[in-house]
Amino acid sequence: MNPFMFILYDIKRLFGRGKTAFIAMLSPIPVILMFAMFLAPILTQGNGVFFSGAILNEDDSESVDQLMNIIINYEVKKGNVTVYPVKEKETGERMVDEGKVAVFMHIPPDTYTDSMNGKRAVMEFYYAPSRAFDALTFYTGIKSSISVFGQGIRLVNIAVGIAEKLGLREEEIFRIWDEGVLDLQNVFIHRGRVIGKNGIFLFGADYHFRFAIALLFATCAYMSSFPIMYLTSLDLSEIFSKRSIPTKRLAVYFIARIISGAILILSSFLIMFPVARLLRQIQLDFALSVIPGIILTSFVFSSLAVLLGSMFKRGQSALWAGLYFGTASVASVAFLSDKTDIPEALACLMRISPLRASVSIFSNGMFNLMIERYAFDMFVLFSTFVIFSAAGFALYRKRSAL
Amino acid sequence: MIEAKCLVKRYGSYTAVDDASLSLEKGEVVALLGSNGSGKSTLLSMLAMVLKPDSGEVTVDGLKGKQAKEKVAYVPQEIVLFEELTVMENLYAWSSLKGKENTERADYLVNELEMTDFKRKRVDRLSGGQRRRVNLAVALMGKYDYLLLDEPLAGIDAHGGECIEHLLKKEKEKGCSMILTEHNPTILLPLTDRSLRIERGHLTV
Repeated sequence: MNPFMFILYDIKRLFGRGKTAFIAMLSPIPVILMFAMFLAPILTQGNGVFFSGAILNEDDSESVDQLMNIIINYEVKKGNVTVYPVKEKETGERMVDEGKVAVFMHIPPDTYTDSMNGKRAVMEFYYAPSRAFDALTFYTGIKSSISVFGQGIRLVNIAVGIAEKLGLREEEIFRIWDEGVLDLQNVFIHRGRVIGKNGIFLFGADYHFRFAIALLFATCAYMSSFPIMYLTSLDLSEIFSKRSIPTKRLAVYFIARIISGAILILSSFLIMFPVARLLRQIQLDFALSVIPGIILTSFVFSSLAVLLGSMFKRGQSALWAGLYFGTASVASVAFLSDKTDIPEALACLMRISPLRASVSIFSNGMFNLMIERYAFDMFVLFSTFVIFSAAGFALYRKRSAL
Repeated sequence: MIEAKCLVKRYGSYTAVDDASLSLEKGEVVALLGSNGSGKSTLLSMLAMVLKPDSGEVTVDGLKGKQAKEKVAYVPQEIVLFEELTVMENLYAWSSLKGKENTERADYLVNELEMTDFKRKRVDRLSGGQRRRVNLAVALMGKYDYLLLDEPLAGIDAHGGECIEHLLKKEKEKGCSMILTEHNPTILLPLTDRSLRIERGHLTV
């Protein structure tokens, strides 16, 4: 038989099993609709976004003052943010408790000096659980701004140092500093233009939107691989173990299963993909760049499903394992992917996580294509596909043989 | 010749097959008789090499392992089919999985087992007796010298039983060796050359 027929038969098996495949394929629709109706408006509200915060700045360095002015003033002028400077920590916390502000930020003494000396600078945030989203947006906006702006200032400082070593005159050095900082301010304030938005906090909000939608897509795609896990486990424990099949033929069937599984997952992507374009009016070239990522992700999730299905003798056990693995992966990506202070082993796991790579490809490709990141994520996906397939076949063969 | 020496299979503290030895000559048909839970299916699965014995060994024409396995066709008691595919798709898929797709053989078996009326139906929509016939046909799709059948007539009506009996007679005439397990020995007894009895895992002649 032509190997193509194996794929066709396997697709028929996957799609014909108690309509589970159709349910898996169509389940993203209500999830996406709910997302579009309730969460997306919150995540993407534009100039109407209004944050209020209290700041206690105990770092008396000029640079922090300057930095905070640049970051906050732009949004204050636009009327997006109201900031109350406070003199005591208790006052800021009380304002949060009384609901007067969404978040209170405390900049401890020597934050600037510590960060310039390579020490870890810790800023404290205090917020009420009911305003968690506002606080998160405020926090991310400030944090990313400080990070980007701080790095820029450091570069200008290096340039000033070089100028001093070269023996330039004092007025020329001041000019380098002033123009460097001015240029940095201009670039920084308008960096939102990259994604078609102005300002600082909107950038943060948009980051959350694209991260959320990409995570939602990857999660739905992963969940549509459940019928593959179940059927693989069932095949190995109920069918192949009872009828002996030569290894060569088993390999053909294994490949057919991975391909048909990828087609099933791809179908759920095809349902989600136009929705994403409608939600964000993504540029066509960005949207098209996601397609190779979608195809590779489908193959990775399919090979992972076959691997999990091959591990367990009972279909239900494979499904539970898949659910736990998926939940742990989604939770890690959702809560740890932007953390920099996690243990190295965990950070490494996050870097090679296929779910993270998949989320990254969608958020990157659909909204703001960065080729280097895209290439790295594709490499992670391809490597995990090879690993899952090799491990899956070893188990598949072992389980179906005597 | 299939030769089994000192086969033992235990499930925990329960010994399903205890020190069973037997041989099946070329062209010979042997009935393996015994009550429910006596160890018939366990012994047959070990002879078919789909169940690993705790001790003992099975050889087929002096061969072991993969090469030996290729000479044996096994019809398990359970229905082992791709439920979502039609009868014909099952026959084609299984013959391909076992070696090469053989459409002529598939047509022959469909005729012999009188499955023409339901050959385009999905297996999960067939009756128990019809599924049993497909289960047998799938096992007969590959190449084999020895045929091991675990209760091939279970749940089959009189007409279906006649079809199977007729087909097995033809296989015997072609020189195929067989071991059959059956509760009711009277049905297939005319086919058999000798019978073995197994009780509580102990094999007796």
